[in-house]
Amino acid sequence: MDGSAMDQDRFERLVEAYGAAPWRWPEEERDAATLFAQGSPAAAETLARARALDEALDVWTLDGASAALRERIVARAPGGRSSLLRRPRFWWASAGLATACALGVVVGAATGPLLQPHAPDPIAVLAMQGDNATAFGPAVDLGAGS
Amino acid sequence: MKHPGPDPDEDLLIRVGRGEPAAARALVARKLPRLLALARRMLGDQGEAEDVAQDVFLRTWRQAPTWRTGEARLDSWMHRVALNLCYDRLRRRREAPMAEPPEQIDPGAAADRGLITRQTGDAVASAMARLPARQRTAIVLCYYQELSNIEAAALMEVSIEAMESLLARARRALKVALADEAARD
Repeated sequence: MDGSAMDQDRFERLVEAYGAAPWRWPEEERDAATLFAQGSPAAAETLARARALDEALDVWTLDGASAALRERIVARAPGGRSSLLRRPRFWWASAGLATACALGVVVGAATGPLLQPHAPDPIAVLAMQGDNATAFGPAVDLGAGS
Repeated sequence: MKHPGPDPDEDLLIRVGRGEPAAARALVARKLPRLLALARRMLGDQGEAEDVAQDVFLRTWRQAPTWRTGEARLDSWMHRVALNLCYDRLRRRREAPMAEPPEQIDPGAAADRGLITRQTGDAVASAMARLPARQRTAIVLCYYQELSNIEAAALMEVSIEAMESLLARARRALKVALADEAARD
């Protein structure tokens, strides 16, 4: 595309919209506008005016993202730490495990006496066996026979 | 919006969908600064911008396992989600995205030349915040996010001509606001 495809009117509208930097101009008009600007004093004045605003806008820079924000986001990605905690399947599995544990405790407590109906009270056994007895049975006199 | 050529982010997103933490980390490194800047410039508030950026990624993580290749580009899709979230917040503040106040008079060339040296980032931020939301969006997308006019127009669902009109009106309003600011100092 040559500069004849561009005129001052279109060039001004282009620069009023996109500013003075050619790389921001629409791709299909960039070459023609660049060529036009090289041979036109009026175009040079238009560019100078737009450049002032471009440079003012460039002053507004921002801080980057914090490491804490990055970590929060990554943690919730598929396979991340927090995403696991948020999966319903994880919670169903955890709930199932917790229920099984609780049932185990309840059933164990309820059936313990049934499985050992005549288990003697260890304190009573000790009392019956006398002062030399231990919880494992009568005391053995290691000195006997020696 | 269809684009020629492959999406440069697609492979990374597919790996995210497979649950690869390294891919998620790489995608965050690549996209978070741009999306955070978009939201920060649209909303003018760092905390709200972080909430929006985080929300965009959460939606991306949910989409990743079922992402349909060859449709929208990920970058465009994330920009669209971010913009919608920003608009939601602006609506809650009763700052309607469609509102367009009467245009102010261009202060002219003399004011243009006085713009540069006295501007600070805060002054520009303040001038941007006073723009109607649609004009602000046009400047943010074309100027700060460096999207092409075609991409920006598609994101805003307007024609190229309408986008140019929004940009030109935004630039004139910014010139007025910044010239006022410079005159006060």
